[in-house]
Amino acid sequence: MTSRITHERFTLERRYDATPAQIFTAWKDVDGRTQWQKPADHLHLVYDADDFRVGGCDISRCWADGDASAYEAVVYYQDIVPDRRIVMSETVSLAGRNLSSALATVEIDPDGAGARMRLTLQIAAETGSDIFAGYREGWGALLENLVLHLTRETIP
Amino acid sequence: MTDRRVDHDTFTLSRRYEFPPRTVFAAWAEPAAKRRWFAETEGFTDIEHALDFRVGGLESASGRAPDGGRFTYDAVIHDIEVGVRIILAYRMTMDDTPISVSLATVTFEADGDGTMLTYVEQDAFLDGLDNAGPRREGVAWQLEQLALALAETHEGVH
Repeated sequence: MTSRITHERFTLERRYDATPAQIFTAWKDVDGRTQWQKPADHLHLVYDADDFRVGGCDISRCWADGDASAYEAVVYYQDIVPDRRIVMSETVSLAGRNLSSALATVEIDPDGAGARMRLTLQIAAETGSDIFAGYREGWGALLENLVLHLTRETIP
Repeated sequence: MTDRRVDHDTFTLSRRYEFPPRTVFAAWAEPAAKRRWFAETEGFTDIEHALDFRVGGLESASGRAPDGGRFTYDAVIHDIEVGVRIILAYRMTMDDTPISVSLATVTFEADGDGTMLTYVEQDAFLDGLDNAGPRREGVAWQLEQLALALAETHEGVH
């Protein structure tokens, strides 16, 4: 039987007390990303490849102690405008099975002394629509993580 | 400073072909077959095309439109299930300026003796330089070229 693909799009937006350049750097710098993109403290996140340029590819693994296998995310950078925009395509897999592919668009706009960041996910799920709630909750939590990360980075 | 903006959109095209899924799928997977219906756009010159059909493999196409504009297409293949599904992401430029990034899901389903192909494209159009109207027309035209190429290649070989 043919596995059905389901499609979804959603946008999350948040204001940060940080400059567009600081937000952009949080995406560009792999050490920073390893901190704020870890979904929860008890999880491990490791980057096996990191190449932040158009056409470049990142590969990361995320797992909890005792897990038999790790979630793997392969990300390709599709468009980069420094301090303004990043467009990525990604596929998430578990134990060699692809779960979903997605386009992720990050838009950064100055807002007073801070900046607004808008993240749009366009998802093609191979495992049914249940995964959409996971994407939304997961990225919602990461955007909160980013607040703390930027606070640490901007304190002199 | 350039006015930066991104317009997100989605469109779906469905089309039936008079050939089985393995034949239609092969026209997406084999470089020479894909070049024929996908890259050799009528009126375009300086056409180049390359395809490395595997997960993580790249596809590139470029050509000069009749009005002189040079277009490039660069794709990476995210997912393949042979005879069933292809998911790829691609970016396009016009005269070296990025105009869009897209995620395309192509599925192949047996439909009697033929194939029902469904094409879903999720788009991020950049800086107002393209939109879903012409993109949808362009892909529909390519899917028509695929029908013509299949008919010519497999004439009498159903």
